[in-house]
Amino acid sequence: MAELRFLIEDKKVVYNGLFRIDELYGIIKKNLMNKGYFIVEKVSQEDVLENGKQVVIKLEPFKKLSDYAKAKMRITVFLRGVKDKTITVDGHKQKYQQGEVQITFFAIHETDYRNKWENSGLQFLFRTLMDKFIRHSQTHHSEEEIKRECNALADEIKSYLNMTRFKISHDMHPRKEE
Amino acid sequence: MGTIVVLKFKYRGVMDFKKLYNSGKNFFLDRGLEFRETKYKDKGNEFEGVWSIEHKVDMYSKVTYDIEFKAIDMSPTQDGKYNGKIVVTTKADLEEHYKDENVAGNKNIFHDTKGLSVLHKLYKKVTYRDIHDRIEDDAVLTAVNFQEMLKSICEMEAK
Repeated sequence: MAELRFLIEDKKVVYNGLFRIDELYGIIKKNLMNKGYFIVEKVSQEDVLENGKQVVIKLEPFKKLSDYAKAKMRITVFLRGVKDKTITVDGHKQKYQQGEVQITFFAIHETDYRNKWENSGLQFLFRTLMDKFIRHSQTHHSEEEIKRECNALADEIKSYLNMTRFKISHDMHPRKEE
Repeated sequence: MGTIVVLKFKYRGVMDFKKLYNSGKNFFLDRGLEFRETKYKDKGNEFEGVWSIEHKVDMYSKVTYDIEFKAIDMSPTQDGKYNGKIVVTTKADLEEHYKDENVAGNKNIFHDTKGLSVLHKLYKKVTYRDIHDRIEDDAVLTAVNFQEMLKSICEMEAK
């Protein structure tokens, strides 16, 4: 039985406004792939409702740190009331989406994911001794790295959404040059 | 089995009961925990339910969250919500050296015959203390986060 340690639980990025679904998804995918994560899309659901589209995407990217430890994330992208909108940006008409965005993050450090060290009491004891006396600093370092990677992804998404809001509002209300 | 923490949440006012119920369930499902609804009663203006959530930390320690909720004086409002009172009790228990029913043969990780085996004693003396503290801290945090989530849903309705 693998042991899961939740390092980040329920971290949320919430936004309401204009964005592009393809760009948002692209940012998440690119960020994770650059960090060596293998992306698993567990759920991808789209419903067309009266007040707009509702999209739920659940990703579970993972990265093997060794044959004993794994870095995992659980990312839920929830889009609600999404409607297509055409906006003029830099003089060109571009298709955007408007609606509510909620992205939830979990960062997990998984150990003994091959279930090699829990077949007997001796193996289990040996594993806990290894974790306590030998792997301690390595585990701590891995955990800090996973937290950093998850926070960096959340920050990148936040800055994309804020930049989109700024770029569009700037174009809609351009400054008058004196 | 030792009780780690018991928390109580009470709220009276307008609430989206369906959202509260589903969010409560998803809180534990999102964390990959074994969720079981052991009781659910709908008496029209009263709802009662009991959830039992198991978190097998490793082959030695298991945390069980027992959630009891009781909603009384519930009257439906126009927009599909309810006006009433809800009490949610969250209890976290830690079980050491539990029997894993999914395992064939000896269901405990250490084979104790008369008293604790040498391996079991060694485990408890050398490594378990730190693990025990960490498990307790994580369980308290989970229970508190669950209560905070319920609060935030109810406060949203209060606004």
